[in-house]
Amino acid sequence: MKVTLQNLTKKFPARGRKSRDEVIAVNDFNFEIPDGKLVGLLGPSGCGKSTALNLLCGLLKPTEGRIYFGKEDVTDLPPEKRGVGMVFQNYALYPHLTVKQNIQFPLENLKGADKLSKEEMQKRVLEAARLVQIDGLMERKPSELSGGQQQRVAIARALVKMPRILLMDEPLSNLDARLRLQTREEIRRIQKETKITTVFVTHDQEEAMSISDVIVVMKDGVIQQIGKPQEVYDAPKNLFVAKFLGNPPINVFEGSVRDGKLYLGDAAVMNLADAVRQESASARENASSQAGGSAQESASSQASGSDSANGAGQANGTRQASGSSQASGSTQPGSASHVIVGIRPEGFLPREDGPLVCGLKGMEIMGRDVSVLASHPALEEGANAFRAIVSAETQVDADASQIRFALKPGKVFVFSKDTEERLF
Amino acid sequence: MEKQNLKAWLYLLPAILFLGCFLVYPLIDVFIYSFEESYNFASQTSSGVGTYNYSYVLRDPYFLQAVKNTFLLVVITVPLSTGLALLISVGLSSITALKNLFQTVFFLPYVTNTLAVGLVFMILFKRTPYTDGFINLLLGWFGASPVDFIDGPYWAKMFVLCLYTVWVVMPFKILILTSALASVNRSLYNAARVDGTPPLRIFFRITLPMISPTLVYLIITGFIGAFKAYSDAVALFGANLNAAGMNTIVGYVYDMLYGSSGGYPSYASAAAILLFAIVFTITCINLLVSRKHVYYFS
Repeated sequence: MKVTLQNLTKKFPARGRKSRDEVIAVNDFNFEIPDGKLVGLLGPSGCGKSTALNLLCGLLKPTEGRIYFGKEDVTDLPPEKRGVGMVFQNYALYPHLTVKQNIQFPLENLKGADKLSKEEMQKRVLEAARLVQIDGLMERKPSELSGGQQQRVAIARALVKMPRILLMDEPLSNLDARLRLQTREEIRRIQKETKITTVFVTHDQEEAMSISDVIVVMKDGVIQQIGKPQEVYDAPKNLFVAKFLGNPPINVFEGSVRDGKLYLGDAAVMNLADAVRQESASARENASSQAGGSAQESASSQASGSDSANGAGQANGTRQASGSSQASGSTQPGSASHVIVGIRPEGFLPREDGPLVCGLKGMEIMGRDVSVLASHPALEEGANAFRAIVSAETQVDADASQIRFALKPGKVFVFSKDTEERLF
Repeated sequence: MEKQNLKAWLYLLPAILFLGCFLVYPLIDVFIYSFEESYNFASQTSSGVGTYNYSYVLRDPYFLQAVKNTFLLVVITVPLSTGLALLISVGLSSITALKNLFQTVFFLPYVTNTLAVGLVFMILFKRTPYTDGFINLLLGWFGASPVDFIDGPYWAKMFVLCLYTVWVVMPFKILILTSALASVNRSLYNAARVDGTPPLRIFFRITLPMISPTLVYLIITGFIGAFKAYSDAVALFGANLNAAGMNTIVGYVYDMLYGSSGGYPSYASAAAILLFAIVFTITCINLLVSRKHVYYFS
């Protein structure tokens, strides 16, 4: 079932005497969830992702906007008429009922033409239980199950009525690290087997990246970026997305752009013209995948660019990012514009003649690769070291006081200092 | 470990001493009195040991009347007050506007003096040569002939006593039940809603089981409280309950000890032990029945 959100907005009225502002938990959501995909709503806590899920579920009514399941407008339908299955964060299993009774509960609510015979119910319950592999625990009470098993029961209960959409609110947050890994594969398997359109909410980027077909990155009720996990990782639209995805997180520097070259401190670390050429392919792909949004966005950042003192650099950036094939020729020579530079930990290549000269602060051997802690004067305020992940085969002298890096073009992102939108 | 135990006992000592002096010792004493025939407080003597006290009490028409009254009171008021309290609590927990106001209103009887409430009920129900009372006035509008609820027929008096008891015991139950209802995990209701559970089914399949431990507690304490009823009857019908035919078991015990016909501690003890036996049995049955139907959280 395809799910379409149209201008979906949810505002909560102001509470208490101190804050008079209403809270916009979900701000003008427009996107489409393709049929049979696993979609991860990703964002820090308080960004409105659970609200978005509750809107889909019908437990909350939107302030504005419409929700469509397929072609059907379900905005005004109560949850039970939407045909959704919901897995709650704390599972919400009925503690006084056995596993079997829990799974059977939704089926017993069916009335009229949908009413099932006892045998049919038994069959469906057993099917759902087998799917999540808890058919051996049917007579237990939830309190006699482990967290992972409870989670499976919750999934089985959501699936047993064959919902059109499966919704999961932080499905893994109550599990320990190991179980989390196992369960997320399990969720992926179940989703693939049932081919049911699934939306889940998480604040853990690793979780979202690892199993989602599509991730939706949110911040303060606003969608930041939608795309396949790898695409979003490789081409973040703004600093927030770049910072939020990736573990270890991206390293942030303050730099400047002059004559088509990116400077960190006094060293020109990269020729942006080359970088843009290499990346323009993926940028264009990214832009076309969000046809409506990108036109709007480029218009707005162009406007803000002309306002700012660093107009040249930004306007240039906008042109590049929106896929215009003109390379570096338009940069005004000599004028420097200050930018924020994000470099992924895996974007550093140790080179004896590398342009980025850093102080070596320490090394952590992880076996497969080596994590190098280094310092650089251009690091953003508050940070005193950055982390580079390099291959274990690279020989790094741990006793040296200095290390030099070259940068991999696809791993370096340049963001506007004002809007934090990505320029390159 | 030993030291820990010692400490624990030390902490418990005051309570144990107090309860031993003022609860366990008198209980045993009462038990002994109940078998000592025609015991006299003044001379501290009895004429012998046996079960005569019990056979006297069990044959005393006043005692039998008291037992009948008490049982009727228990059987009518405990289910009625608990059921009504549940209904009101569910209502209270599902409204948002004026919730606090209603909560206060429903809790008021709890902080009101029993005798004062009794007086109010008297005024409402009593017939005097000058007026038929407010309730009779209401009844008159529906064409019913006036009834004397305080000095009239047995059923009328029983009705007033039951109404009064329900009114007095309900606030506490509402208080306990509203907090029990509030403690039920909201996400269970959300889950039930997503599954399309009709409201009545939510109530019987989720709410009721979730608050069942509280309900059982209220029913058991309700039974015990109703069996020990006395002051309510006095508030309505005056101190001479035997004359009004509205005596309760506790009232009978009191009369045997201090009443105008008083001075029979042996009979009083026997009646008290009988009451204890009844309450004990009923409580055991309650616990046994509830064990099967109550879900306790681990």
